[in-house]
Amino acid sequence: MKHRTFFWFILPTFLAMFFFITLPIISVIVQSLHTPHENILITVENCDPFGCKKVTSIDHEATKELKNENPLGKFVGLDIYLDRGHLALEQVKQHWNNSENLLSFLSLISDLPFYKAIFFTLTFTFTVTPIMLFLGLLIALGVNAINRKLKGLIIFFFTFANDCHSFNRIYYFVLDD
Amino acid sequence: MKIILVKVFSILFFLVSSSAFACSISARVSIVGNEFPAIQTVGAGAKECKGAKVTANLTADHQKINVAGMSSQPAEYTSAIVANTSIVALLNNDLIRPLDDLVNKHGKGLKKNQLITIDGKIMAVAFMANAQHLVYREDILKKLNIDVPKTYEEMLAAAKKIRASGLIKNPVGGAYKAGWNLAQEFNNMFIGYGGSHFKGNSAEPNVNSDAGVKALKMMKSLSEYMNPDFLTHDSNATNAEFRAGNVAIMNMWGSRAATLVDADGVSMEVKNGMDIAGPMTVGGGKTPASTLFWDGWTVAKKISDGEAEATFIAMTNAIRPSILDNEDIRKQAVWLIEGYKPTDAARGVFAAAKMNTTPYPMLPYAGLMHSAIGKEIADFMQGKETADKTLSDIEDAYRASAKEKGFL
Repeated sequence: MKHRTFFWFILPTFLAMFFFITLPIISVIVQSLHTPHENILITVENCDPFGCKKVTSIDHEATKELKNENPLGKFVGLDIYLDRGHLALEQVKQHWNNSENLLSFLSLISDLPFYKAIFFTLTFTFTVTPIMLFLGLLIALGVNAINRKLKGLIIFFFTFANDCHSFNRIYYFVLDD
Repeated sequence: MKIILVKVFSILFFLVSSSAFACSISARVSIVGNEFPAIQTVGAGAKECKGAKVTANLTADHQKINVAGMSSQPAEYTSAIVANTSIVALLNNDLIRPLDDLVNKHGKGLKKNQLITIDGKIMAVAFMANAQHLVYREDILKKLNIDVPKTYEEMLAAAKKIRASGLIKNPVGGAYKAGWNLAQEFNNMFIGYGGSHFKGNSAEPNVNSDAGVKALKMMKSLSEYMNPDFLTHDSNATNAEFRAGNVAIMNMWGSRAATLVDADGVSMEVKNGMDIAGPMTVGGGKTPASTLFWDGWTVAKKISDGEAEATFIAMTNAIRPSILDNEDIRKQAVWLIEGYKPTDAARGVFAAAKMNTTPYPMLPYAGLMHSAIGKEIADFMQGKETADKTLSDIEDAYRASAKEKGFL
């Protein structure tokens, strides 16, 4: 294919991928380096049926001004990646120093949300994958032994069932914590 | 003379007819709120309004959907029914509007203490008060010669006796469902032991303390007398256990206690034996291990002024004083509405107010603390962690989310 033809051939796909895949990924990365602005707190008097009380509240006007000045939020670098809710670097370091052996270290960090999720996913994958491979092989051998005339039909329905199963798996992986 | 009479009659007729069709609105009203009897009454009251569509989505998951449902432009929900806990999320996100003008125009029947003001602006209209307090089986305590528990220590002793008698195997009930409910029970106990969630006026957490350890240990001791599935029991499930006669003493919401045994299929034994008392104290403290709540409604910010006015009219109609003429409605809650006379079912909440129970704090970061507690405490209740570890986990989890939201 001529370079020119190739260029015009690939351009629509390239543009679509650039705008709907590349740009959003860059945007997500940039956003992940920012946190929301600090709320500007003020003390106000609140009254309810149980009486009046001076309490802390958010100054929405002042906070909004901050947001308008810098809509992305406050730049914090890798802080979010390293905080307790995610990689928890500080806690991991602390647990590493405090634990005598690998086993107690693992049990300590498995209490942190990110590692808890990883351990769960790994356990799930390593339990389910071998079983799936083995069952798949059995099914394949079974289908192979069927009369040639029925084979096509059976394969078609197995594929359909498999698709349903995949959607189900994706649902659990992505949506269920 | 005749003409005057005709005029008088026509004025009278006009008054009667206008009060019968008092509530007419000209824009949509859409309500989101919790579901318990009193709130269902309010939802039904708003739906009486004619002229435009009124919808109500009343669900126990209301806190998960009200912020999202009021953030769009225009908001899906024009009103959220909230409590002093759940109003905070709406205030933090600036999703509800000041009601001063609407109160002046349409809110003549409202009492001053119904108006929730934040920094001098009316942000919500309260219609009921609520608190958790003791609900118990008077017949069983009497049979075993046990005094009505006034403290959690007495509750434990009573539980031990009831179990030993063989009458009920797991006599203690409580909404200990992991998450919001469990965290609320911790808050009660923590306050009862004299704890305070934050350092001074700051957003710094303060639960990793002596009071925190004691609160956790007391909850654990109580759970040993509960149905082993207690971590899945919310208020509805706990009440079902009580109705079935499987629970003899529990800490329960006033808003649920009134209609607790009205359901079908409750035995006469449970129906006649049920009684209520004030909240309990713990650890020799004077402040009850409970928190005071109000429930009220708000009006969304991101809707047209017409919709806001319609919503205000419909919601005010729902809590007009005349709804209390119905005896069933009167006993559903401790109403803050003009002309409310307490029923027998209100004793528990009134006792809570009289004993100076702490109101749940309306702090911008209280919700983050509540969810951190709800997430971390289940590990301790299952015996997987020590109390100290759980409390420091709570503080860490809270700090992480408070930083993310810009409070620390």
